[in-house]
Amino acid sequence: MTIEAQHEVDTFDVELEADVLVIGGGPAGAWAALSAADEGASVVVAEKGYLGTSGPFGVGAGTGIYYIMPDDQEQRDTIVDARQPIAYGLSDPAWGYRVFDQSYANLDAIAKWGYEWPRTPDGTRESRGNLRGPTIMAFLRSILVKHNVTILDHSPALELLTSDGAAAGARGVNKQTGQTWQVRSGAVVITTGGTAFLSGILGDKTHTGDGYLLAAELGAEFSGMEFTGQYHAAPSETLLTRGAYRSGVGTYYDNNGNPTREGRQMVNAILETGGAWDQLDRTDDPVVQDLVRKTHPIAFQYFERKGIDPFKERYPVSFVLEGTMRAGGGIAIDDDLATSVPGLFAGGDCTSREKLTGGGPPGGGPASAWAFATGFFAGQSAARFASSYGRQSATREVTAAGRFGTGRVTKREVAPDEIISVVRDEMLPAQKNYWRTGPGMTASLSRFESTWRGAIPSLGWLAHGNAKLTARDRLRTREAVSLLAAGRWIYASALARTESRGLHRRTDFPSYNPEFEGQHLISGGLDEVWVRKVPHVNTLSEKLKVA
Amino acid sequence: MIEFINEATCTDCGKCVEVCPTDVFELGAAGVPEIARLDDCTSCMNCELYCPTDSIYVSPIRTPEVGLDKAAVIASGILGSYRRAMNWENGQPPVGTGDNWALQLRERRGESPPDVKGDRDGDIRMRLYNVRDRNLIPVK
Repeated sequence: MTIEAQHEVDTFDVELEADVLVIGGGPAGAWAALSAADEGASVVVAEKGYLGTSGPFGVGAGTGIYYIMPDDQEQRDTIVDARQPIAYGLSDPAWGYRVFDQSYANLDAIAKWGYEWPRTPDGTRESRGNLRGPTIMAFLRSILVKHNVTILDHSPALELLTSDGAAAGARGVNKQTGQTWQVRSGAVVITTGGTAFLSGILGDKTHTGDGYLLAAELGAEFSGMEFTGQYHAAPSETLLTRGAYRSGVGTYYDNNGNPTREGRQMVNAILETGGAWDQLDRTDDPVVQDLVRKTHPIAFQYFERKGIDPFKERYPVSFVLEGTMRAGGGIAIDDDLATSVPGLFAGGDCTSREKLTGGGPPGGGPASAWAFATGFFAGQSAARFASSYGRQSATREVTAAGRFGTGRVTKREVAPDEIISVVRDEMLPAQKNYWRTGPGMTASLSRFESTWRGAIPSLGWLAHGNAKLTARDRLRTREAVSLLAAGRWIYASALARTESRGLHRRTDFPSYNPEFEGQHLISGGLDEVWVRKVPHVNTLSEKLKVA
Repeated sequence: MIEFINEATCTDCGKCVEVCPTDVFELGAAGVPEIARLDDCTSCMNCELYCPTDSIYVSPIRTPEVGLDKAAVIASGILGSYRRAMNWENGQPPVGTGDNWALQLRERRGESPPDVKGDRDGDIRMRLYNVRDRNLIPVK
């Protein structure tokens, strides 16, 4: 097995230049592109799927979003304060105000662009707190087009470009045409979302941690990767890990018919009684039932199409991993959304959300606000960084930064799908990742290490008879590396945190450990994974005090 | 997972091919979209939403349906039900949500103050209750 010359010919079917390249076209990527364009930057967005339908936001029919009012101090303080007890000492309240102020501004911009927010029945007030994902993304896409943003759909980035240690663009393929592309840019924003390790939740198939690998190959670091033991109930056989449709009207039951709660109780109900059930039995008002049905279209398509009346009968639910698609760990960023790599910025679910929600769950509303706001900030920072290069950014010498799975091989001893299945075996089961143990994670990590050493250094992609199959093979190869790398950072961090806190639960260390009070775990590395403890600082609060 | 395309009403416009985030479709010889990579489908239903003629049926479950009667599903009139619920028309979104069901629900259900006796988070729950309607923005 030999890795052939990595790029036999350094030419690409599509070659573009831009001040800012945004990788990932969900809500964070869309806002990054818009804010960069507003700064006067030329912008390209490379999206793995389709900008408008990809990811958990593009498929969610109803997603909440938090915002705070500019002139209502009580509302502002309450919304920000409410997150602090469930952030476990690892958030910065100033970031709460900053994020929810920005999400308000973004939602206000949407209103100014002509989007009609729903009004109260008396017509006097409107709410911007509930988003229909596919509808709002279609709207944002039309705004991006008006801002002259170039959108590359079906175009996953496979590796970053670098120049003097700074991020300088990316290369990838088009899944639909098999074409290769290269974008040289003055700065790069990664907004590729989190990953659920292909557990089968809505929007998870495009979300394989690709941005983590791209960033790590240039030396970016991660924070809070242990706060990732996030699971959610979904009607069995479906991908609907959404709670909003049943909030206030549903009751969960264990397999013996006793009421149970989301979270620890439900996991134990499933493990101990063999199953869990749900019924929307807390209202018998037909008007409320009808409005619940209409408010949550995608959830109710399941009931309608399967012939289930959820108000009258119980339906089975499973507990499914959502991972970093709904938990706080991710790429470490500073107050400007810069990573530790010059010219590389990140926003949305692929970043660590600890500044906003600490070690606890970002939930739907704060997470949407985080995507809208940090995407916006990251695009702005990237445009400013790129402008310091002026025209030079497009002509400087660049090299490809991909280190694993980017070369072509003539045969493979381990297929990417086999690597992915090892990762899923260790990450998906609630017995391993919801309830974590030292010995369990040591065993998982040792399997990951032997898989990495045995398969990854020699891993490459196979050329196929047609360009499209080749493009898909190249993507799958990189996805396997990304998922394995993410699993290693998660369990290495989780093993190092010898306590339980927030979305990190250890049965061998069930309580807080004062040693970890106010301590973040930063992790990184590809050849060797490392973890280090760093004390929490309210960086933004401190800065604002000085200012 | 996507179950079928209704060839009788499909106009071969190719929109489903364009918007599918996981590239499930392939344009066949005659320009007709075909389900080429079923395993990649995530049941996101966006192909249904963007289809201008309600010619696609996606099952909400993650595995192929056993013994699904295509003719009966078409005859039931369910094709397009997700699009209608989302207020999309002819493959186009409304400019806005197109309804206010969530706000009607909020008003109908009302909310009484939380019982916070002995609750260590009682203070913040009560504060949240007190500001619950203060994110509503007056219409100019």
